[in-house]
Amino acid sequence: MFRKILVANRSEIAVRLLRACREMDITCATVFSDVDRDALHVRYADEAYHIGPAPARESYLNIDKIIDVAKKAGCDAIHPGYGFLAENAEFAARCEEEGIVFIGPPKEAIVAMGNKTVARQTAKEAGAPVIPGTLEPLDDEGIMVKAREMGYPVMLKAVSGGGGKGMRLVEGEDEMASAIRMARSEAKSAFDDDSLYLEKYIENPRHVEMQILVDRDGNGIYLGERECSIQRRHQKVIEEAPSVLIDEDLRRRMGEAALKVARAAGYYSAGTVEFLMDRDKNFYFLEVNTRLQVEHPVTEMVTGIDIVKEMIKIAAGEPLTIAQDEVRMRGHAIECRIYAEDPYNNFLPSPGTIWGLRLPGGPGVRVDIGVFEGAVVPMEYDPIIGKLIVWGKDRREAVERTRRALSEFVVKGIKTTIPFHERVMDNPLFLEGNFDTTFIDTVFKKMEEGREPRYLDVALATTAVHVHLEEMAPKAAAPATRGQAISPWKLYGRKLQMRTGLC
Amino acid sequence: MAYVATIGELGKEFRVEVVPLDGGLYKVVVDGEKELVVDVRRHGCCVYSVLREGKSYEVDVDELPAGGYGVLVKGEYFHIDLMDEMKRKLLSILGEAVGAGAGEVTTAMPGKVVKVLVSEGDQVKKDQPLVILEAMKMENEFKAPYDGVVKTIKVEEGETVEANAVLVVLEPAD
Repeated sequence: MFRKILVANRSEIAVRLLRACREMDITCATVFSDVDRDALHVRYADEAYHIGPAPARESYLNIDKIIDVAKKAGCDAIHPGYGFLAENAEFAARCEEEGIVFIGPPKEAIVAMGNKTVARQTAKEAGAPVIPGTLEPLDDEGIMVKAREMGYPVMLKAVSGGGGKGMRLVEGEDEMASAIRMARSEAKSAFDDDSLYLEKYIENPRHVEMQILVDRDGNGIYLGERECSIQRRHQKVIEEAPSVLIDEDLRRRMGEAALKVARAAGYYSAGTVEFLMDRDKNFYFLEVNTRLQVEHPVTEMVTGIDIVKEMIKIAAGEPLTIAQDEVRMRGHAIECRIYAEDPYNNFLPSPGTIWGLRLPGGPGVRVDIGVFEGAVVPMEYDPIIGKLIVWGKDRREAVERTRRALSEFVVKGIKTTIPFHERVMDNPLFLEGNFDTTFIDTVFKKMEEGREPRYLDVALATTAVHVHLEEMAPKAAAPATRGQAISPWKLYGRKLQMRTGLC
Repeated sequence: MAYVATIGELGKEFRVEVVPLDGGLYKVVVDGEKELVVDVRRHGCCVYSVLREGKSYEVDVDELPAGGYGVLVKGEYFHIDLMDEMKRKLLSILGEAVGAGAGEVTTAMPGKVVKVLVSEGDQVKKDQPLVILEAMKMENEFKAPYDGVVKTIKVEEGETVEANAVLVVLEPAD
C-alpha cells in the first residue's frame, strides 16, 4: 500500500479523499493556491503545499508544480479527485514517468474516452448502443450541413467535453451560430480544445449511469446505477440510487454493457459509464467518465462500498475482493449538490464569504462539505461547495429525510441551491419519479411560477420587529450586526440599477 | 412604528406596523388589516425564536452587505427591503426628480470579462449579446434590454468586476 498520497484538488472532494487516506492510515498531503490558504482541505491534510496563484491554470492545473510537490514531499501516489487534472492524460503520463502512481485509469484509456468521438467509436465496436450522430469533429460549416441533414433538435457537444461545459441543445438553425460561438469559447477555456461534434437529440431523455470498478487484472464489477436526470444547464444537481425505472434485468444488461465498453478501452480503476434512456427504456451509450464522480456517495450509501478506498487499492495493484453477486443495493439514497448559485436568478454564480453555516445531521444524513463559517468561496473555481447525501429504507423515506435535512441546512452570505432542492423535494412529479433531463428548465420552472411562498407573514413580522429593536437599542449597546447600515440613498441607487439591469 | 417592506421577487410592497406589547410580545399589522401577535426572542445577532398562536418558528434575519435583509423561515428565503415609512415617502418624492442610472446594463454576479462584443456608438438590437462574463467556469451573456445605441462601455476584457457593476450604458432608440 502507498505510504503517502498527494490529493491534488480542493474543496469538498479534497476533504473526501483525505478522509479515505486517514481511514486507511496513509499519510495525506494536499496543495493550495493563493486564495485557498484558508481552505478546509489545507487544515484537514497532514501536509499542505502552496502551488501558485488563484487561476487554476497556474495552480491546480499546473502539472510541473504538482509533480514537483509530490516528489519533494515523498508521495508515492496522487489522487486527482474530479475536475482539474482528473481526466488529463498528459498528467497521468507524467506521473508514470516520475514513478508516482496516478490513482485512476491508465493514460491510454483517458485519451480514448476523453475524446468523445473516439469513445463513441469504441462503444459502438464493443457492441453498446450509441446515440446517432457524428463520429468525427466538425467545422462550423460542417455542423450546419450535418445538423440540417439530421434534423433539429440536435445536441452540440465538445469533443473534449464533460460536466455540461461546451454543450448546447440547438432547436433550430437560427440559434446555431450563437450556440457554436458559445460552445467553442466555453470548450476552449474549459478543455483547451474547441472542437465540436453533433448528436441527435433524444426526446425526454433520462440520464442513467453505471458505476464500475475494474482491477488491474481486468476483473470488473458494476455497483448499480445512478439516476441523474435532475439537471440544470446540462449539469447534474440531484442524483439518486437506484433509479425508479430500472429493474434487476435492465440493471444487469446495462452493467454488462458498461463493463464491455470498459474492457474495450483497457480500463481499470473506478469509473462511470453514462447512458441516456428514452421513453421506452432503450438505453444509449453517452460517455465514460474516467474518474471519481461528484455523485459517487449515493452508490456508497446503497451498496456500503467505499469507492474511494477501492480506487486506492486498485491503484496499489490489489485485486478486487468483491464479487458481482455480493453487490446489493439496499434502500435508497439521494444527493443534493449545494452550489454557490442563485436558484431564483437563473442559477447565476454567487461567490463570496460564508458568514453563517449550520449543517444538518440525524439519521441517514451525510454531508460532504468543503467550506466553513468564515470561508470565502472564490470565483475562480467550480461553484460546488458541498453535497448533502441522504439514505432511507426506500425512496419515500429518502425524500422525506432529504426534505428534513434541507430544512436544517443554513448557509448565509452567499446564495445556494438549498431552497431549490427543497422545492424539488415537494414537487409531485419528482415524487412520482416522473421526470427527464429537461424537467428543471421546462416543467418545473412552469410549475414554480406564481408559487406562493409560505411563512410570508412571519418573515415580515420578524423583520419589522428586528428593525424596530435595532432602532430602539441605544447605539453603544446595540447588538452586533453584520455589515453597515445602508443609507436610503445608496439603497435607492441600487434599486435603480436593479430596475435597469438584466439580472 | 410603521415600515414599508418590499419583496422584489414577488414584486410586492407591504405596509408593516409594529406595536410593542408587554413581555416580549408584539402586535404586527400587515397592510392595515392582518393582525399578528408574535412572541419574539432574539438569540445572538441574527436568530429569532418566534411563537405565534402556539406555532414555533426559527427565523434568521440578516442584514445583507448589499442592502436589505435576508430572512429565512423553515427553508423559505426572502430578500426583504424594509424602510421607515417617512423615509420612504421622502425618497419617492426625491426619487422621481433624480432618475439617474437609466440605460445602465449591470451584472448581478461578480466575474471576469471574457469578451466585449460591441463598441461605443454601435447600434444594437434587443437581446443582442453585449458582454460575456465568466465566473465559476460558467460564461454568461449580457444582452441588450432594448434597441439602442451603445453610449459607454465601462469594462475591459480580462478585467474582474464586482456584483452590481455597470457593464455598458445603452441609450434607448426612440
